[in-house]
Amino acid sequence: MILYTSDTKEMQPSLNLRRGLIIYLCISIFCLVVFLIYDRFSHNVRSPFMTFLFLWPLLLGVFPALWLFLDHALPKPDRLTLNLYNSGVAALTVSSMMRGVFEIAGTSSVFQTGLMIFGAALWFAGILCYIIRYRRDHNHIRSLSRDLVQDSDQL
Amino acid sequence: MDQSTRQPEQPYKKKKIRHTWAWVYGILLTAYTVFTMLDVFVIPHDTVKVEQSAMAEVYRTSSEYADTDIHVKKMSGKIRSTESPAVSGTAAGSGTAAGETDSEGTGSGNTAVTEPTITATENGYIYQDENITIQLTQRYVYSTMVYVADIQLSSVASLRSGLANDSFGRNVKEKTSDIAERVGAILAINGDYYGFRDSGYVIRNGILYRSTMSDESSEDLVIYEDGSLEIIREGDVTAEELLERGALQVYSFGPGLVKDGEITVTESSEVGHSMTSNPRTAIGCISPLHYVMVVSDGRTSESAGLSLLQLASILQDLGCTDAYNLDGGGSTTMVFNGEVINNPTTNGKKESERSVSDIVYIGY
Repeated sequence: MILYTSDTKEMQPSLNLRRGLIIYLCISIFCLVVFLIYDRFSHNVRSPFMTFLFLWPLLLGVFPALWLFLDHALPKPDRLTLNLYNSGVAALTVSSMMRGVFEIAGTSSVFQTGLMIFGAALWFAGILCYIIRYRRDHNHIRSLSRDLVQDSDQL
Repeated sequence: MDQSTRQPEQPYKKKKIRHTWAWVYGILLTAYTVFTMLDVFVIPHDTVKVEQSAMAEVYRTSSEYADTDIHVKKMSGKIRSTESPAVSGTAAGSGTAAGETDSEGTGSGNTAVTEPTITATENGYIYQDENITIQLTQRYVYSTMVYVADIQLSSVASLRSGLANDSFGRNVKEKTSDIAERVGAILAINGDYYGFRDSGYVIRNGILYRSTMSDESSEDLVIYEDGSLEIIREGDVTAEELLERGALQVYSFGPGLVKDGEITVTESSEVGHSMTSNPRTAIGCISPLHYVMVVSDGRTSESAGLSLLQLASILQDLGCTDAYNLDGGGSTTMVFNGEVINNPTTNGKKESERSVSDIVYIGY
């Protein structure tokens, strides 16, 4: 007998995290390369937003993914959480790169600032989403264990 | 449940688009980034066409200039030469002889009483007419070629600003040499590139274009109706007040280099995030109606470029009581007699002149 379920092609959470970790690592390296190339042509004019661009995906991407990957006690983030969180990190990284380019050129843009605020909001929403889910799951486990204890008492 | 009963459900299974969020968000983020970049670097906006009549009116009402009866022919920017230049190392090669002046200019309606002369000297040129004397020299200091224009005017009306495409606005750009030629500048340097920023006071030829403060500590250069020059902090005075005080030009780049004869920058002073050695543009005042314009090469093997302190030292040595740093780097350009005399280094390439928002020029 073959069972057809809709979840057969869904990725396992651990696999999802591992893939996310590798992608974030690649983005960090890419950001470092972008800085090195840009620095070569910027006549020694530097901006910390460009120099430390790689820290966004490294600190907000690689390390959290590594933490979740290694700590099995933590619940794995759901799709909504990941979407919000990853979108936030992407917006923060891109806006940081733009800020670096603008500072090196000697200008600024309100649109860049807007994107940075938007990215921070998405990132925060992702964190909030994860905490809510964590607490919900935690409460669910507690209620389950309470029910289990009650059942065992009845027995 | 067996396979035969489940099989027919397969065709009705909805095909799921994977990573929909990532694709849509990625496209939107890319589009937003491209738009922002274009907005900052390319798309002109907030453009105001400059009325030449309004500018002329400012100078007509300027107290000092109104009393004079000077009629000077508007130069077209090219004084034709019959002699070859005796100076090597400069690109201002076309002019030495007096006289043969184009008269196709369209400026303020003044005409010259006497013909201007341009004389080649050992290390530069001297331009002279009855209102303007410019002594242009070049020197090699701090491993950098520096071009110095010593300017003496009979009226501050000859010290003017030119805007790219005769328009005020963000990303409105034109090469310094093109603006200089259009306005008929005898001598021109790049200005403060106001159009690359959204803030900082902008007054040009007595007209207030922007009164948005950049930063309370930002230093601006003010040139007044009496020909005096002052370096102010934007936090201390509004643009409107400067206009009431008789400001004809206000440039917002900085920092101030020399104030009351004293150097006001240190070894660590820099423009934004730039490093020490760069091409520079500066203007200074020795006394009212006696100015110097200084540009330096840089970023090349022949010329390292100057730090702000080195630039300030040069201006102090020239006798400036006040001096101010204008936009440098790839923007640095000096045009004399229709020719670019320095080596602009936009994108690290020689002789590649950058388009800028505005120029400071000597002309009619």
